[in-house]
Formats: sequence, C-alpha cells, structure tokens
Amino acid sequence: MDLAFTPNQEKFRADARSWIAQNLPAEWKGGIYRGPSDPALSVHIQKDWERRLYKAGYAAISWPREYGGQGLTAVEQLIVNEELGRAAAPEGLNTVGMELVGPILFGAGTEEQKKELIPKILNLDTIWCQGFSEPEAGSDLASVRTTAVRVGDHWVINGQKLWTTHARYSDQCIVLARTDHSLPKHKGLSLIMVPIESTGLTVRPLAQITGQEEFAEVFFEDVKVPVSNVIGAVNEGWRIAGSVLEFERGTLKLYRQGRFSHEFESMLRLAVSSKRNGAKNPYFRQRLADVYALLTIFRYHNLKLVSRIAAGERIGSDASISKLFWSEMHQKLSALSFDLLGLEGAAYGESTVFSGRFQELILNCRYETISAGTSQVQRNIIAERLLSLPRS
Amino acid sequence: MQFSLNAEDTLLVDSVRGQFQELFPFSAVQQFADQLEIEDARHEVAADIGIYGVCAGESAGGLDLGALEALLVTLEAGRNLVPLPVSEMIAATAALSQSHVDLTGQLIKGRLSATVTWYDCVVATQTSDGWSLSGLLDAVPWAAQSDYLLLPARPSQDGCARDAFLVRLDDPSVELISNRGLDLTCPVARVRINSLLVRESDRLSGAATRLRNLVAICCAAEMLGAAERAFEMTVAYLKVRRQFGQVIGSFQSLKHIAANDMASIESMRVAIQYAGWALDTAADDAEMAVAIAMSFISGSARTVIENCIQLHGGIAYTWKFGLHLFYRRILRCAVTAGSVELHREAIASLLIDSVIDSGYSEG
Repeated sequence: MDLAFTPNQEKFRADARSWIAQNLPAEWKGGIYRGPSDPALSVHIQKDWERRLYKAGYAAISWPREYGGQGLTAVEQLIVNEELGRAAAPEGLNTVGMELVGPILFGAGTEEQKKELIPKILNLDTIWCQGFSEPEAGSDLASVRTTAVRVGDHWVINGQKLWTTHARYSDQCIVLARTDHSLPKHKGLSLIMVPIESTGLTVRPLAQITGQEEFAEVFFEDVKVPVSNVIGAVNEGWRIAGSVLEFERGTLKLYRQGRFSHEFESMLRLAVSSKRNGAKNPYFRQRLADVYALLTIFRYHNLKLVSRIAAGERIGSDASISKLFWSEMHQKLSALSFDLLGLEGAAYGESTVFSGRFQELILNCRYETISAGTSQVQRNIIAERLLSLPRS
Repeated sequence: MQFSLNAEDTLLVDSVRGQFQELFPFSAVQQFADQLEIEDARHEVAADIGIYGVCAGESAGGLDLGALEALLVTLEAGRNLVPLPVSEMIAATAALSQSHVDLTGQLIKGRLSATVTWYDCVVATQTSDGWSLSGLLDAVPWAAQSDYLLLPARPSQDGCARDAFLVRLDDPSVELISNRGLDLTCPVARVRINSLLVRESDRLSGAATRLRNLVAICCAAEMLGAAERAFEMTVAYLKVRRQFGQVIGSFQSLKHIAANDMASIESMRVAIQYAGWALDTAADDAEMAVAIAMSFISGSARTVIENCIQLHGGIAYTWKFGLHLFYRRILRCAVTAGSVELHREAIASLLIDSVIDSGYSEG
C-alpha cells in the first residue's frame, strides 16, 4: 500500500497547475464551466484550448508515444484531470474521440486506421460523435435496428440514432449498425465510421432538460461509406463496443472527480454565506459531511483504479461499481446544493448566485444515472458478472 | 501509487484468517454467545497468533507494524466474530509499548488483558504526586473481563481530552456495573471512577487522539469484516434458496439489493485502507480520512447487514441461524466507535473551519 505520488509526479502536478493557470481561456475564468452563449464561438474556443492542451503535453497522457501520446501512466492522467477540474477548465469537446474512438482504434483498428485517425483526434482535426443508442435500443442496446448492407465496395446505412452529443459540431460519427440479421442480436453488429457531411445523413438538434441543444438525433437514409470504414472485424461490433463502454463507465471518467470537487468548494462557500447560514444548521452540516465523505471515497476509488490500470490490470465490470457510485453521489451533491440555495432555487440564470450553476446542476445531473448504462443496468452487471447470480 | 496490499500484508491476512477460522469456528462463537463466558486460556491461544502486538514496539515483543496491518487483523476478527477484545488489545499495546514495556509484553502474551474506551472520558485533576480521575464511562467493552483500562481524560468538564491514562480495573475506586452486551460476542460494562489516584507514570501524555484513531479504525474494520462475511453467506444463499420454482437470486429486486451491498463493501474497503495508510504516513488528511471512514462504515455496514437479513428472509430472524450475531457485532461497534452523526460532525468542523479560515465569497 503506497498512496503517495512520487516526487516526479508531484512536479508534474505543479507544472500542470501553473500551465493551466497561465493558459486557461479568458472566457472561462470565474469558476463556471459554461462558455460563451454563442455555441459556434464556444466550440471555437474549446477547440483552440484542447489543441493547446495537447501541444503542452496534457492530453493523451497514457497513449503510446508512437501515436502521438505522452507515453505516461494513468496516474499522470489522474493528476492532470484533478488539476483541470480544480481550475474549472472547459469540458472536452473531443471526449468521444479521446475516450471512445481512440481506445477502440487501439484495441481493434488496423495499423493504417491508427496512423491516419489518431493524430487527427489529437490535433482536433476530427471531432467525433457516438451513434449507438436508438429510440428502440436504449438500455437494450443490442437491439439496434440501424442497418449497414454491403453493396459492392460500400456499406449502405439506414436508420436513426439518438442522444448523439455534439453531433452538430462533429466531423465523424462512430455508428453501431446491424450487418447480419441471421445472427443472434449481439452477434450481427459492426462499428462503422460515417462522415457527418455524408449525403443522406441529417442531424436534428434535440433540446435537453436544461434547454440547451447539445444532443441530436441523427438520421441515415441510404448513406454510403467505403467498406474500409468498419473498425475491427465485421459482426464483432458488440464485443468491441462492450469493452469500450466499460471504459466509459468508470476508468476514463476520472476527470469528473476534479469537477465535482470544484462544485463542492462552491457549495461550501454557499453554505457559509451568512444569508443562508447552512454551515451552522446541524442538518445541513450532516449533509455536507455526508457528501464530502462520498466525494472523497470516489477519489479513493479512482486512486485504486489508476493504480490497477498502471499495474496493467484490466478493469472490466468493476467499472460498474464506480459508475453507480459517482452518478448517485453527484445527484446527492446536486440536491444538497439546491437545498442550500433556499428561495433562490426558484430563480434561474446568470443573475442568480453562482450564475445559476446549482439550479442547472440538479436538472443536468439526471442524465448521469441514465447514460452509459442506467443505474439499474449497472446493478444487473454487478449482480450477474461480479456476484455470479443467475440471469433473470 | 499502489492501492493494494503488498505480499507481506496479504500473507498476514491469509495467516490470521486461517487461524481464526480454526480457533473460532462459527459453532464455537455461537456457544460463546449462549454461555457468555470467556475462558482465560482463550487470550493465550489468540496471543499465540501474535496479533495483540501488531503495532507494539519490538522491544516489548510486538511486530511494530502500522495501523493498516492492525485493521487488516481486526477485519478478520470481525469476519469470524472472534469473541475477544482484539481491537482494544491492539490499541492498548500500541499505546503502552514505549512507556510500559513489561506490561505490554504480558498483554501480547495474553497473560494480562486490557481494554480501551474513548467515547466517554473522565476528568483528570493534578494532585501533589499524580492525578485524580473521576467520571462515568458507558459501554466499555470487556471491562469486567479485563485487568486494565486505557481511557482518555480531560483537564476540566469542558476541555478536550488530550492525555490517556492507564488504570487498574480491580482498584477499589473503580466500580463496574456489568450489563449484558447487545453484542453477544462482546460483553460491555458501565464503569464509574471515583477519585481514582493514578501515578504520573501512568499518564500517556498527548496520546488520546492517537489511541482514539487506532481503536476507531480497528472497530470500523471489524464492522467491515462482519458485513463482508455476512454478505458472502447471503450471496451463497441467494444461489441455492428456491421459491416460485427458481433460485431467488434470479429475481431482479433481490439482485439489485445485493449489487448495492457489493458496491458499499468496496467503498468501505477503500475508505478504511486509505485511512490506515494516512495514519501510518501521518498524512495531512489523516484526521479527515479517519472521520470519513468511520462515518461511512458506521452507516453502510449497518445497511449491508440489515439487507443480508432481509435477503435471507425468515431464517435470518431465528436465534439458531446466527446471522443476528453479525448484526449485533456491527450495531455494537457502530455505537462504541462513534455514531455516523458524531463523525459527520467532525468532518463538518474540519471542512467549515478551513473555509472560514481562508475567507470566502459567493461566485
């Protein structure tokens, strides 16, 4: 048991902290994660920021050097994520590329695909979005109906995807499509790369619970892409996507901890402000302590995960424990922050305390126990795969 | 960064678990619970494993290991419901091994016994040649069965306990009001101390916090161990018990309870291991880490064992089946190691004081 960071890692942290302080986009300072209200400007600023972050050595930290990564470990990745969260840095526009497509390519892509696509992810030349869920394939993801039929040297794709975040600003979509109807539902699926500009592809923005339009529906009508756009073996898409979804559930969402800590700090300032007096109210004190304990235990879980990853272990279904834990903890945090607002909770927008951050949070964090596998799906995974209880 | 046990610690766990299983099979624990008697020889048997001196100095015959190893041992004691003051003896020998070498040696060998309390404390008044202690201590584990008691004392009714004192429990100024323990594997007693005179050499200056932290996380580890073992029994039961023509573990409503419990147990484990490491390295956040582990485990271990009872159904409600022994152990530890509310208040004080100290503003 050794939970200390090495002197080199401490120096890495100090360097990252000072680089971030000097380079954060001016628009973001002030402790709120929201960018300018003009989405196009916001995207421009985010791309520029992420590009500089990568050039400075603070992105793709544990990716191999030969593909442009930093060749460091998950521990350094955790350190950077903690520092980014601490500084309230912008969220990753390029999340799907960095956290899904990159790992999928490393796991299942051809050498040619890796050489061509990974540098474009790192340089922000290709923004990726994820085309997995469908209206009839939510928790039961393997029921996807979108089809890809091979015609000559092309796949012809038809269907509809849902909850595709940042589709409007993306260049490519990674699509989970049915390529063989004769196989059982988990076996006939493939992962196919589809350019957003393709003929027959339509993006329709979808306003979410907060009123923002980060989501979209994506429609495919006889969209043609070359057969070489498949990633991994044909009909192996479920297995490949499954391993990546495990990543999505826990291991690569480590940056959340830094963001949650930043939210907690703001919430604490809210609590001690004399107007609300939450810090003197024993009921609120108990809740603050409860949430702080859970937040800190989430950090312990992350330290354990990175130490296991750095030791070369595969995380697998354990990621479900982490996903279940952080998503429910964050909702508890949001509920407390909202309750601490008192009457101001009924108001909304920039003019309210912390620019309306906590009113937005309680709405926004509903998705966290739903996306990337609902809490109920996570519990099934824990029960069936980790406890070996029989399938229902 | 290595968030896992090293080879020596893994070996320690395996060895202690094996010996506890052999010495205290469930039938023996149940028998103890029915008779409520501890044989003196039992201490010596446990002493042979070498566990009482885990944290004591080598010169006193201890192993000179850390809080992490202490909690690994007491976790195993909790798993096996070992009917001995394992946490208390470990904390006592750790506190005494520098100042009371001979006594520590006797404790480690199991020839004498000591217990510890920290929830209540007495008032210490300085006299011409020592100290005079007075006060009432509730629910002191093993008080009627032990030779010595280590307890915190404060200088006045309102002050904070800083020092710990060693007292003999057979002193005429010490009155024991022995109660039945809720935890049938751990008798407790109310201890009234009336102007007990203690020598200066039996004052452990500034030791109260260290003593409290060690005994608290040892008790938390007992809770985790008891919850973990009861949960393993429950998962096994879910796979064999049949109703409605199928094993009950295939019902989603029960699976989801079990999944929550498994996640809870993992969270308890990282919390206590972090706290042990923080104490051993005197980390800046050690005090906070202990409070976090205590508050979380006191609440979660209780939820897990209550779920275990529910998942078993009627059989768990019977005396003979014995699951109640795990419940009783956890309830008792959660009380004597400090309630969820108490530890949360400690977290709140640490948190809020730091914010007020650094100045604050709304964004």
